[in-house]
Amino acid sequence: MTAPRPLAPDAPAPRRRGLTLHARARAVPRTLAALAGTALLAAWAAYALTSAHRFGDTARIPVVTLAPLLASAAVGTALHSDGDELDRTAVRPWWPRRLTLLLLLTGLAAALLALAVPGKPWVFGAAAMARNVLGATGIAAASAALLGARLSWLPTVVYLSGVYLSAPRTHGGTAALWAWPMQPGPQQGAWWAAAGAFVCGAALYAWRGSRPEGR
Amino acid sequence: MTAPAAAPVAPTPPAAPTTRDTPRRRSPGILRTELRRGSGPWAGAALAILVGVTMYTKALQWQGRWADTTDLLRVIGLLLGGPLSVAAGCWQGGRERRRGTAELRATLPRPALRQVLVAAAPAALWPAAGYAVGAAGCLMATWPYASSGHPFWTLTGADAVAVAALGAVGFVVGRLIPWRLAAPLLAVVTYVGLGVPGYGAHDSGIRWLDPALQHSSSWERPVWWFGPASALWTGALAAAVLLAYAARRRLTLLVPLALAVAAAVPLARTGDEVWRDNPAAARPVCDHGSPQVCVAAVHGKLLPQVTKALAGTNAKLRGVPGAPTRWIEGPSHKGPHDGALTDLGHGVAHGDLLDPVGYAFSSLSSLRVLSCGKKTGHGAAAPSDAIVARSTDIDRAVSQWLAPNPAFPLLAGKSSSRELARLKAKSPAEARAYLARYLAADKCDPEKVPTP
Repeated sequence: MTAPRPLAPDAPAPRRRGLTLHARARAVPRTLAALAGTALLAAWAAYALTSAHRFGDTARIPVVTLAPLLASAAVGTALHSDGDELDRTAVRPWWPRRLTLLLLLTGLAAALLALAVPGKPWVFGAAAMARNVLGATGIAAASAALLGARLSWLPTVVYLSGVYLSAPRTHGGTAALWAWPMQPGPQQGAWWAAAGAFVCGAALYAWRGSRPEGR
Repeated sequence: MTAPAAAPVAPTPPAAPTTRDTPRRRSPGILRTELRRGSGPWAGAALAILVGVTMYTKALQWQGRWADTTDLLRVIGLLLGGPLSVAAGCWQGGRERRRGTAELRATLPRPALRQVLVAAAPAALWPAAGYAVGAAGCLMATWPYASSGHPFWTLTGADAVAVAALGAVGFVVGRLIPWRLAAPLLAVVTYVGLGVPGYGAHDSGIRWLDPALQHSSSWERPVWWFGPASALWTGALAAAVLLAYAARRRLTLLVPLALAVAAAVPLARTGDEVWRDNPAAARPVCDHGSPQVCVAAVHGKLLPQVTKALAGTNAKLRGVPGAPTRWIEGPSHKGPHDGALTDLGHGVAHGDLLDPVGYAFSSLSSLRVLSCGKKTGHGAAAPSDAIVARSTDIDRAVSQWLAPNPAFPLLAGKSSSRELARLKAKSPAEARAYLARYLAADKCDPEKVPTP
């Protein structure tokens, strides 16, 4: 009779190993790389636009709308699950895992992108960036649940580019509710709208998961 | 016995169809099937709607002038339609991978290039068709209000080629990169790539290789070869990419590359000169009034409205020594007795001058420049703030008297209101005499502006 073999001292604990595998199965490393790349690009673009001195306080609008678009596309497409049917046979509920993944990725994206736009936070700075990441990711998560993760970027692109073109030049008021991506910072209506989009999207995704993709 | 009734002649049954006799029913071509199915029509419709809606929201900037319509179509079609086209192409390119039919396709006996061209056709042709529909709508919307000139077809055609080229390039990227993020990333990169040269302050000619570069001027027109060269540049680049991906002999890509370079060199060397002055657009069209009112030929249809807007002002200025004898709009040469009218570019909708009162008021700002000449008082001590404020108040009062504009009311109790009240109290002869003194005074010296 042989004694059970002890774990090798350098082998990762099973729980940690499970987490790593889960992260890899969800393409988390690649998503993190995409988020980091987006943040670097946003930082460069914000610096270049601000130092041009020609655009005043509105210089960072393209950065504050395009970078969250890209980040939400990265997060949305990462919500894909290769073994969806297998996941649904699991004994443990999946929604906490889905929600945790979404919250972690969104939090990281918001933090990274907020760091990319230093300077006055109330003029299309860190506050507006974090709010837009929140709202855009919410739309992407809802789209992943309804359309599938692969196309989850499409509604975000349509909505953000539509607002980018048609938002009124004045800020605040009822326009802040629908044109939240184009508000310079602390407008409460914009925060409520973006947070609402995120809560709804995250709840829908946590509840349903990504829609299985047909051919 | 009766003769048996003639047996009715049975109709001869039709001969059984033989394979030889039946006309060969052709199956609908692969190209037609490709064009009718899939994401292509959706991409085309989306692009047409995108261009149409965006142009509609900006109608004040372009409707009625061919140069502005063409230019804004170019910017919107490429800056917004380009990313859409490239993303749709990328999606189309990933189709075989998503459906697991890539290997099946590889076994077909047709040459790879031919297969790729057929599969890429919807990605290139539908967005271009969508752009063409949107552009045609906008040009039709400009047509009834345009006063002179014609659309710059070659530029609009070049835009459609550029949109198609982006779709084709997106298709190849979608075939090559199996990444879910490829389509949105490509769209953002395209937007940034097309938009950055427009932000640049430098005047390098290379930026004209960007097909989305804005150059809005009603008084200019593109050189004849600008559109064809631009189309050749973008189209040949896309052809080179397709050949590099699918041609059996890769070296054939050198042919379109050479063509692209041949088109790029004159574009980059000519730079801003690809848009030249258009004397036909700037030519003044005048009425027979006194002072005479002249607008540029591109706004010729607005002349009666401008004349009407300036009627009250002209009645007060008529015959006053020193008053302008001609109002003139546009870049035409202005003589010493010509007053400059405000550019009619942005205050017109559906052929109507939106704010005639404001237009007459804003045109009066040129009165001060009229007699300023070059005597700007260099070297003299700067006038005190009180003197400058007094001169400004008198200017405001005179402007409000010549062209009353309720949008800029004078504050009651302020000196400008008092000046205006004094002007209104004068008899016509006194007012004309004052106006003559006002216009004759050295406007560059605020101290010498006479009080009403």
